Amino acid sequence: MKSTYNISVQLIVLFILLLAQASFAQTTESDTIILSNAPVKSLFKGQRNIAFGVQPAQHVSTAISTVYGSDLEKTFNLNLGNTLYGRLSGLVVTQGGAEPGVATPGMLIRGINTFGGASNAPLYIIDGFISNGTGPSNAFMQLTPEEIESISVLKDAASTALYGARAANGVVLVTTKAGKEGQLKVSFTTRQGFNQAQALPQFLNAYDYSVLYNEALNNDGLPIRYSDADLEAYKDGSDPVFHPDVDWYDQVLRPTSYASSYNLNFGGGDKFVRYFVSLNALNSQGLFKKFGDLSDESIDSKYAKYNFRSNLDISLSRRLSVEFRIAGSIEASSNPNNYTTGSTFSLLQSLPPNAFPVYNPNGSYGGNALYANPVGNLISTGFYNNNSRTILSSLKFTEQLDMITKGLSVSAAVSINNYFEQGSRKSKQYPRYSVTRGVIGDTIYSPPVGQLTSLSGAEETLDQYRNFIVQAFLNYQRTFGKHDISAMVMMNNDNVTLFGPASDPSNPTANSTDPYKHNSAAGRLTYVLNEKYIAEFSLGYMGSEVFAPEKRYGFFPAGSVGWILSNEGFLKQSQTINFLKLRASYGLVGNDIIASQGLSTRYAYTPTFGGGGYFFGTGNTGVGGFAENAIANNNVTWEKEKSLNVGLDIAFFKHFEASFDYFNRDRYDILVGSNSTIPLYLGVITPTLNQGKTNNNGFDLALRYNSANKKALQFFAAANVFYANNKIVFNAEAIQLNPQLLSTGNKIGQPLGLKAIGFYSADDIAQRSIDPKSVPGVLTEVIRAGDIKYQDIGGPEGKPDGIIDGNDRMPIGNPSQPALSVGLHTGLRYKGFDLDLVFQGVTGNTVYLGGNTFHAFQSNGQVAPIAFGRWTPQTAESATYPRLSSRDNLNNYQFSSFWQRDGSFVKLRSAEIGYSLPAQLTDKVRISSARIFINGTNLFSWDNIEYGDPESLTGYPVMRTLTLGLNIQL
Amino acid sequence: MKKTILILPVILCLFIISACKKDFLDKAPGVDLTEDNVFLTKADLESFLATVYKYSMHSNFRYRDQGNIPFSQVNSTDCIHPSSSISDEGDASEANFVNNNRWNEGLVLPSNIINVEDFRYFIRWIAMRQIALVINRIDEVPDADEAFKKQVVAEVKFLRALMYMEMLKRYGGVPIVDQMFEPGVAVDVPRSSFEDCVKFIIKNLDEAIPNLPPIYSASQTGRATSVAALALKSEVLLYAASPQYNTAAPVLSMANPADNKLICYGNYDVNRWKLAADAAKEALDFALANGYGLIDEPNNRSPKELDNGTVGPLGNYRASWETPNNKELILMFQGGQLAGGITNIGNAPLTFINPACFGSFWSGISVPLNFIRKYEDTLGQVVTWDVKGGPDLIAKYRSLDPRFKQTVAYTNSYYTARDPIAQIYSGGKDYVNCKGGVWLRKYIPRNATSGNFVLNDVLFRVNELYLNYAEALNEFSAAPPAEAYAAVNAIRSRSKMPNLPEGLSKEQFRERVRNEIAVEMAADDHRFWDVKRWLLAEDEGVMKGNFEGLRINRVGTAPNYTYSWEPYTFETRTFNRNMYLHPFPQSEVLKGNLIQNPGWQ
Repeated sequence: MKSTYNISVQLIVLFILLLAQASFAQTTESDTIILSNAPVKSLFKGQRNIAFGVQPAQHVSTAISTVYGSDLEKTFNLNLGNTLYGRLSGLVVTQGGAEPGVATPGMLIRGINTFGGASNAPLYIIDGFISNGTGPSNAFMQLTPEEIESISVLKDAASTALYGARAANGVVLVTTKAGKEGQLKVSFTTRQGFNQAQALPQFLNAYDYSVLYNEALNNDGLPIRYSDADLEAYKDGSDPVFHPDVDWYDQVLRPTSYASSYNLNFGGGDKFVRYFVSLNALNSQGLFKKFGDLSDESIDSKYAKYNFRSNLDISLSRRLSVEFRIAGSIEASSNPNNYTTGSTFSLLQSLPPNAFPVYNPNGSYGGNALYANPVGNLISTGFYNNNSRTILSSLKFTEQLDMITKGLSVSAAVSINNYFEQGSRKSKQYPRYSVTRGVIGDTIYSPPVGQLTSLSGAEETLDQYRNFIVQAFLNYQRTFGKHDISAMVMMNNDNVTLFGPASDPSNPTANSTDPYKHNSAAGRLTYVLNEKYIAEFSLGYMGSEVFAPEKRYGFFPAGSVGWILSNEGFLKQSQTINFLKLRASYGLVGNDIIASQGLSTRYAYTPTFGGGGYFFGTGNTGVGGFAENAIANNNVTWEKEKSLNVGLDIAFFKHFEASFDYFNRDRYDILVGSNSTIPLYLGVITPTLNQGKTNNNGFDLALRYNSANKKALQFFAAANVFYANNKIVFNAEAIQLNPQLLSTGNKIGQPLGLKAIGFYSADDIAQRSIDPKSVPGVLTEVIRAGDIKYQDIGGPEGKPDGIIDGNDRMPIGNPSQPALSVGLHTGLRYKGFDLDLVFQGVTGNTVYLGGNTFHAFQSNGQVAPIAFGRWTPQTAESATYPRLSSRDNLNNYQFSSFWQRDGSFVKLRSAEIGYSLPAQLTDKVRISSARIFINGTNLFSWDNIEYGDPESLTGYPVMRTLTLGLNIQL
Repeated sequence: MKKTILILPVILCLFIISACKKDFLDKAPGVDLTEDNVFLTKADLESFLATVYKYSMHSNFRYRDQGNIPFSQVNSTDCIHPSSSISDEGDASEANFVNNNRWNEGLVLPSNIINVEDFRYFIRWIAMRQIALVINRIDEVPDADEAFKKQVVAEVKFLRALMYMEMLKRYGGVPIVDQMFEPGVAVDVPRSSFEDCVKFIIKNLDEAIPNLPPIYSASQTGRATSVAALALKSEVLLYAASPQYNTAAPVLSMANPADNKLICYGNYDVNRWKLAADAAKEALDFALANGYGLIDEPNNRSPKELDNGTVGPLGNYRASWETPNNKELILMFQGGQLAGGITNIGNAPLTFINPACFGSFWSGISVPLNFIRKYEDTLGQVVTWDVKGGPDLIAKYRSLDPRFKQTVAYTNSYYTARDPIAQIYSGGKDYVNCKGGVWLRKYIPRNATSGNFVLNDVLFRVNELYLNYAEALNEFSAAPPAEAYAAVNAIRSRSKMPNLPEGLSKEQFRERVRNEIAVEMAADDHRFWDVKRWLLAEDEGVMKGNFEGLRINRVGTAPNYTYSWEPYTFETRTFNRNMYLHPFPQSEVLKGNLIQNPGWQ
């Protein structure tokens, strides 16, 4: 005890001394590591991180866009991916679910280029090493902006070729902050604020529900369920037990929940040792009410994440230096009822308001056989704790070999990363009762639904992976007069062991014994003549263990050229054009995640075996079986992409910069099934073949404006635009009677459905009763006036046949991925005040209104206000919604254009207003700067969806976060 | 300093050497299986054979073996019923939920045939390939003797014949595939004619019969026997002689009339009935000579089960389907482990053929009045069911053929240990969706208390052979011979039904034997096929037209309730003439190798 105390005292004293020393050391303002006061950075100056190296921005002849951690700090979010909306030209980030620690946004570099089971995900590289995991286990998503120097997106083949068979989907390259020579600098930031749901689905109250339900029953020719007295009771709320009106969202969610963050960074060093240390803590209460306070068998939902990073650069000798990086994160979340909240939200979305009261008069939970009680679920089914830990570590030695030839160096690096996710759960069940009023007005309780059980616990490993990476480099960089040469050859070897649901939950042991391995060598040569002409050649050579021995290795060459026109005589003196460069690149890259990464689909070059047995004997004794499943395809190989990029970089009128890129990507060797053309009497599962092809072309554009630095009012704007147009060139798909159903020639992910052409009128129905085929309709449902009418395009002979069925489907709407997306980061600074805004807009995508939120009464669900626009004989002309039906309607709720909406939106993703205290004031308290700020994320969305967020219609709502923050720098 | 200069290059060299090891990217050893493993030992071959059985043997309950069969492309709720609910034998209580109910609605399509009836379409071809593999390579098994090898080849030939029969009655002629397609061989086999398919089946059976034992030891029952092969041969020849196929012109002509041979013989030949009769006689005689036979305890011919939920003795008829491993059974689909009853893998049949009102089951089958009318009274007279109804339903039921109460559960009857008294009347808990007025209970044993308590379902049983013989012999003869009477009367007398009256004409006998087949083989997956091979499916009330049920009201006070009844039409079914044959799956036809059946283009 005593020794602990002593150590604590010593630590505190040491800390104070450090602070004192640091504050004494403060001399000039330029020493601060604050970047928040800098305007948006130039596109063409400074150094750029490229694959396994760094390059001066003006020498870059490939397609790369970059964002800096200092910019991302102004978007407060629990997840790094969510700070990237609209930030980088060519990177489209789409909101996934919003549940902290569970959902991550989707990220695509220059759109979708493949289909089927192949991966579209970019390769994530952190400080030169691949990052594993998907979704929330992806180490990238767990980083904090404060530890990041920059994030670059490598978009064309020439910038990614070194990553060979993993490069085709582009690369997200993260570089963390390194210490700089100079005195200790300390930055402390805290944010305190609250989350609220940006939008929650709206549902009708019990009275409106009952009125519409009666109408639905009446439409179906069934007797109504609710009498006038019932309706009156719902209206005046006089009978909450037998005529309840429960707003279940209100019962379960609270309006706001607390969120906070703390960040402490240290950096500094001398010529021998440079260090950067970052500590970060995030806390967010969940949206559920504090159910843990109500019961020992529940828990308050919360999410916390703790990050640390320590980056050391040490010069061991004049020639030998070492970089040591260790970072990690710990996530801890707690929820009642389950690890995640998905099932609770789907229950909330289905449960009618008058199904049952929260509590019966005797204090028991209301409920019925169809629906559980959401409140009961959250208070009385136990609690779940989820813990995950990530460790990222690396060590890299570099030795200058100037004694052999000047500019030569050799490096060796090793990295070990690990992720582990563990859950502890305590679960139980509880009884619930439905009540009916007896003849004499008494309350009759039904037999219990669900039995009371005691709390039982379990510990489980939910997910884990580890990777081990070794790299070796030989670098050469030298300038001879007009000639600037840099060259690099390297080898990389990595070994990833997965275990967990993400890989193949049914075969965890087989997967964990069989790691995913890559072996590669790569080289790059860059030649710059006279700072005008740039030529670069890259070559990747990579082997991957999922292919047959003789098919494992492949070459991935790429080249690029650049011409800096502004360094030519005729432009050198131009006042208008300050910088002008033309770029072009072409190359071949691959994607070796050609199918889902489970064991059953992994080694397509080997046949798969395994079959059920049978039962023989008078006692039916089981006998194990064995059979051929799928035959092998020895030639299976990675997807390939030929990628062309043509770009233009220009700076003009001093304050403007623009960078434009056109790209054309031809992906081929996409894995497709062959069973759609071979008759089934072959009698075996046919292998998948590398036959699919796609094309994707488009452009991205980045624009910058910076006002003059010296003025009192400074303004900046950084915009980017991205447009892509993809299509499936070949997919070995089954022959269709209706050729419109072929995906070949369509966009990737093109929805196919029926085309709605209004509602059936009473006349239509009358005509159908004479000749059913005169007005086309489905056979699966008795069609009535007010049902959705579909266009009849195809029958057995490809001609309209009077029947609406699967043959009448056609491409409707657009895929869910936007075709065009725009980002705008803008702000201004006036005296001590600053403003920073990030907008994101997309268009060319379609969202689908489905589920209980939009399909009234289906699957015994509830009704949303959208159903007020329903068809009735009186509103036949103006109806916006089909007639109501109490049964699951097989006509109206088919996948059709009726339920599609334009998914375009413009969102204010983040906004921050700050005020920095005047230097005179901060000097007095010996701090170099202090800034207070108010930050908001997801503040506004302008879109066409009346009933929710176009990116997140269901489930855990997208959070709007408001925080008040303070940043102090020493 | 010199030292460090050396260190890095040395480390790098070591690394490069290790990374370049040739096997770095190799897959972990020991997990690869190949076709060769099948023939390493007799035990391996036996495992392989177990899978061949699993893939080849169909269940009358369509879904029953679905769960563990790969690649069926069928959802768990698609094919969940025996064919009872798609002929006049039955009506699915949850019609929307039961996918094969589309037959009653006339909504069978080439695009949904796999989901509405024939989800085994692909599985059969997998089994065919496995069978060809066994026949090709069985000689390689080092520790198997010749007799064993011959028996295995005979077993797989039987299974091949069984599957071809299943296809023949659905599609007519299908491609004959007796090879394993090797790489480089074009997978392009056209449909064979109906006649060639029959010949192919008979050839496989004739080759198999000499090498199959008539009976197995207790640990091996369930495997193909020579009795089963003879029974199958009888069925094949009976179908081949039937009006649907034994004809100059099919019901609907193919688009190109030259293709009609794919779906019928193209002529009528009365000798086909002779072949069918001989095959039935041979099978029956051989079965009886080897210890098979009808269960016929004189005391149990008409079991006295009381109409108040009290359990009575097991009748002969009921024993023939409820007693495991009885002497009447020739071949069963053995779907799961025996435990109290048969515990099935996945979704057990009782879940589907038990109505929801009996507990946590999903969909029952009620029996419409259309079928109940087929039950004669105990004197062998046709029973009239007055359109105006009557006052005492239980008395009416009590007057029927004893097989009636052994086939269905009616109001106040004993049902199962879980639910002793059926309450099928307006307001009764078991009346919900029981449109016919009685629930089918055949294949639900008395001790059934959960969805897993099911029986092996019967593919061949001795009673079928008697009726096959009677039917074929009558058709071949000018007037029904005494042997035909004897065969039908054997079936009737073991259920205490009087003999058929003497002196029936050929046509009258035909009617009676068809009625007998319907009653005796109820819910055995015969009716749906029989009404098609007899070309009766389109007749009013068979698979088309009005279906009648009973409105049942309980009258009086406890314990002296009576139950009044009144017929009503509960639905109108559709049968189009193209439905006499299944359509081939749309996706298969589009591949260009198969000529689609008539009316399905």
